[in-house]
Amino acid sequence: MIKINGFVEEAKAIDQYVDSEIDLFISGISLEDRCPRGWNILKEKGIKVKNKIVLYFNEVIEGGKQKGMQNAEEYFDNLFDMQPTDCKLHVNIYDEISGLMEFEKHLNEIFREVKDKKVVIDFSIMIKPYLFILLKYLQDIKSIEKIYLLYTEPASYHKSKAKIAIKDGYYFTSGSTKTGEIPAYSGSEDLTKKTALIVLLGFEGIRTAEVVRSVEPDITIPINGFPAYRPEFKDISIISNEEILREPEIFKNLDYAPSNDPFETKNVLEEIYSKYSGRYNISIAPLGTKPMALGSCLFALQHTDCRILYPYPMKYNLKASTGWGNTRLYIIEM
Amino acid sequence: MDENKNISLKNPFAGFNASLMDDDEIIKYWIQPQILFERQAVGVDLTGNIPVLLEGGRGTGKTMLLKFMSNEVQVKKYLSEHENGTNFLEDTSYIGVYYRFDGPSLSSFADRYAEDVIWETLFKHYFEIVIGQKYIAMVLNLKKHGCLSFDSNSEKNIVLDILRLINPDYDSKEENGTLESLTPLLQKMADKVFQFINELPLSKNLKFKSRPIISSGKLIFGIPHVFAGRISKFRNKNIIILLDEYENLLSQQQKIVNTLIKHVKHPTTFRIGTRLHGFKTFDTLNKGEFLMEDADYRKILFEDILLSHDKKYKDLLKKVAKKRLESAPEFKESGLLDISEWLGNLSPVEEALNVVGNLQKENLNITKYKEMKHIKEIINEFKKRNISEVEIDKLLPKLIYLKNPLIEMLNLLLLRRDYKTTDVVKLFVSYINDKKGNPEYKKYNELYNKNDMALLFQLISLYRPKQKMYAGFNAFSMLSSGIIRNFLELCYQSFNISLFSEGKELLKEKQIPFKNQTEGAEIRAEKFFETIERIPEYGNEIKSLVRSLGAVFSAWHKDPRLKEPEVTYFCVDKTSLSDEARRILDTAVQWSVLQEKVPMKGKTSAEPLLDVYALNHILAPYFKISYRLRGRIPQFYEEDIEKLMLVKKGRKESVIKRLSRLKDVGKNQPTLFDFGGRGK
Repeated sequence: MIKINGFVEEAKAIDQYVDSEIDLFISGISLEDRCPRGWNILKEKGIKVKNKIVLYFNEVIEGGKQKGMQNAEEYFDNLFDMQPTDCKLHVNIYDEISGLMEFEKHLNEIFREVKDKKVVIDFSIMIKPYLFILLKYLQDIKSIEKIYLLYTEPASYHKSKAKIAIKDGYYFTSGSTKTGEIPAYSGSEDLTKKTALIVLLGFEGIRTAEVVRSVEPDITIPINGFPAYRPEFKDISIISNEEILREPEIFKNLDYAPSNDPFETKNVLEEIYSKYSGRYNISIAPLGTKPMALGSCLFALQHTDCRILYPYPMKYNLKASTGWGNTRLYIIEM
Repeated sequence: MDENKNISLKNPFAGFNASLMDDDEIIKYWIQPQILFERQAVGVDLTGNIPVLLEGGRGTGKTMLLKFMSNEVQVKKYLSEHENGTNFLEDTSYIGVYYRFDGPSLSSFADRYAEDVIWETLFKHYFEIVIGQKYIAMVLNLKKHGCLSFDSNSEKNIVLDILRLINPDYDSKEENGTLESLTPLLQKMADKVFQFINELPLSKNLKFKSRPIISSGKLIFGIPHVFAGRISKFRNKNIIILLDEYENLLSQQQKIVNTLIKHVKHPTTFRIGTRLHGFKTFDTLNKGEFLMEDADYRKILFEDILLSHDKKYKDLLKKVAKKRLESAPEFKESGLLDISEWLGNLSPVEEALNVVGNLQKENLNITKYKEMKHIKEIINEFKKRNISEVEIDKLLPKLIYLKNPLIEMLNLLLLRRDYKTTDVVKLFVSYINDKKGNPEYKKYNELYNKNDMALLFQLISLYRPKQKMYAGFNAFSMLSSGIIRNFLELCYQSFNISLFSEGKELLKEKQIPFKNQTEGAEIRAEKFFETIERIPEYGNEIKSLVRSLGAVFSAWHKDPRLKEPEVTYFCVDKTSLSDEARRILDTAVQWSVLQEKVPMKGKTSAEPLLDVYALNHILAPYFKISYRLRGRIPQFYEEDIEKLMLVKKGRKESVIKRLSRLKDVGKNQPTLFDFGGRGK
């Protein structure tokens, strides 16, 4: 089993951890205000970036046009100070595998000669399956010892005013194509064991119910984000997930992990794993915050017998949040 | 504050999903659905050797039934009723192995990075390993509980036979194999499959190199054959593979399993649990060959059977609910175990009296009575006929029936339908004087029985903001639409509200207030509606269709002339729809949003039978419509349904208006987005 450790820092301390020059910066575009925060912090700190890969999600470009952006692509070029030598990857938000294949071509080129690769990823707006695949790929590149991840919290989420919000819920997605395994995270099923599902709870209880319905696990262990970005968020996620939490057999298993600390999330998952993996095949649905999802990703990279499930939506809300809050730096040592 | 009120009671209806139940809970909550087990008369034997397809919506009880038939549950149940398991195999005619198809896992057996033929081979191989493992677990379970024993030599021979099935080249005669030793062997083979699936997305041109690869049917039919040959207690026993959630298989995967069903080999047989339209294909892997009902399998349609036996269905619901009530100590101690008493019954007349106020108790004079909203409507009809105020005052008492406002509403309806005033009076008088032999009595009685619920909806629409109640055991039974889980959910929500507001007082009151039941039904309806969007692939289209249908149905409930009472379904010739519209309809049925009913004759004898689709009655409280199957949308055409599913909001409105006959409908007409609020 590979070893993965890490720790959390304030993003403003990034210059204490990375050299004045890094090999690669990876980010993606979004209509959310926090989208360029990671890049701006690197600039503010005067960190030089040799190569830049920015995922230009086709749906975001299209969404920008619909919102009246004259030239959406140019807008994002400016946001990320894209130079002719930088790499713009036009990828489909719903197709992480094709996206990765595009990414891989350029990465091989960039890394051909570099030995101790220094990579910074801003995953604040990255769609979760992309993050999982990207880290799996980077894990396979043997000469990466440390990955630096930046994450900017939103100031607030759009509530019912969001385009696809219904009722009082916070809706980040709409519709469903399927609940599937994130590619390369299918785990390994022990045919003699039962099924345990760990759900990192988010605000979309309807998606949690969708995963539970798809798996019909023998036990379900919900993990709520606590402490949350904002005190009320921990309650919103509980109320939103009432459909599954009202099952006494599920509610009694409710556990907590900090919403902004992937390493603590990973530790919580380790505890659950040591308790249940002897009798259960473990599946994890990362529906909570992105740092929690990162924690589950790091955990699954280490525990390849566990699988990661994701309810793929028909549509993402491309502007699910407004403003920005703290930015954190997560340093992963592989 | 009453201390007693704050003591919380456990909701006996919390936790009702069979898939979340362990074996002990399955036994605890199991109720034999006699209606299903009585199907032998029509050739369906749940424990016999002909494969049986169990089709039904989510929550109808398929999983409960299949899990109940598994060897693990059967052995446990037997041991709870007998001193030991020695005679278990003598006393049973079958041994079941349960397996649920896991959707996320199955979809990983097909992606663009390997050719279809590789996935087909891999799935066959994997499915054989899984069921092979289930067989081994079954025998070990029987052995563990003393239902089966054999000497080491017999065991060695069984193991050898199985090893040769796995690998025909296997040639070790010396190995002292145990059944337990087969488990890691099969696991190792499964691990190779998972390794391939995990590595494939990030590796190019990966080959599946693990050997041996097991061909289809080798273990599935081979191992039971070995057991029957080597273990005397297995002779003449059916080994039933209980496959749940068949709809999760991809089309090509279904062909593989269909082939096994078509060419089933005794003693193996199948029970297939699936949602409606869960078979993506009936084809097998052999060109031109497909599964044929009766020749290859028998079918049980859960909702059809449950709904066609109203009394038996209600009895089943009572028994299921009784088990839940018994599980909560306070309810058990109180002896209040009859759900029909907890819910009571609310007749349309009782509800109508609640709406207008109980007029019999009040000393009403004609002036006051004329102020009642529904009486004002009668007066308006008279005025349209140029009847003078004086005449109206004389006529009104002849059409008033304090005991039942619905009768007054029927008189109003007849006037709106242009019946002569004298004829209305004649019909009404004959009815209230109970002149059963009179043709007038018969006609009026028929009209009343046909329209009582529809008249109630009209009455309520005059007395806004009062709302239709959805309460009582009979109403809950009909709202559940043949889906047991719906009924349990309705009970759960109603008890939840009452337990929150009443606490332990509820045990004294011995009935859930109708308003709490109504609120519970509304919550359930709202949740059901919200989940429609999440139906994979067609969630948005189905939601759009349902929302539109709800608006049309609701409009018809307010038609002053009640041309169609209680409109809750539509008819369409499915074969004339586009492929996409057909798929959407099938998906809606698969998720029990719509329910297919017996096809009906078209408008002319030359027309084909029309397919009938009813909105799941659980949605009735959301749209404030009836939960009975009475009326259909007249003049509903194929292009209408296509538009309601597929076109954008603006263009849809005109279809909805036409289908609702808006020009006939008063100002209370709902709009497309006028639904979905509790207590709206």
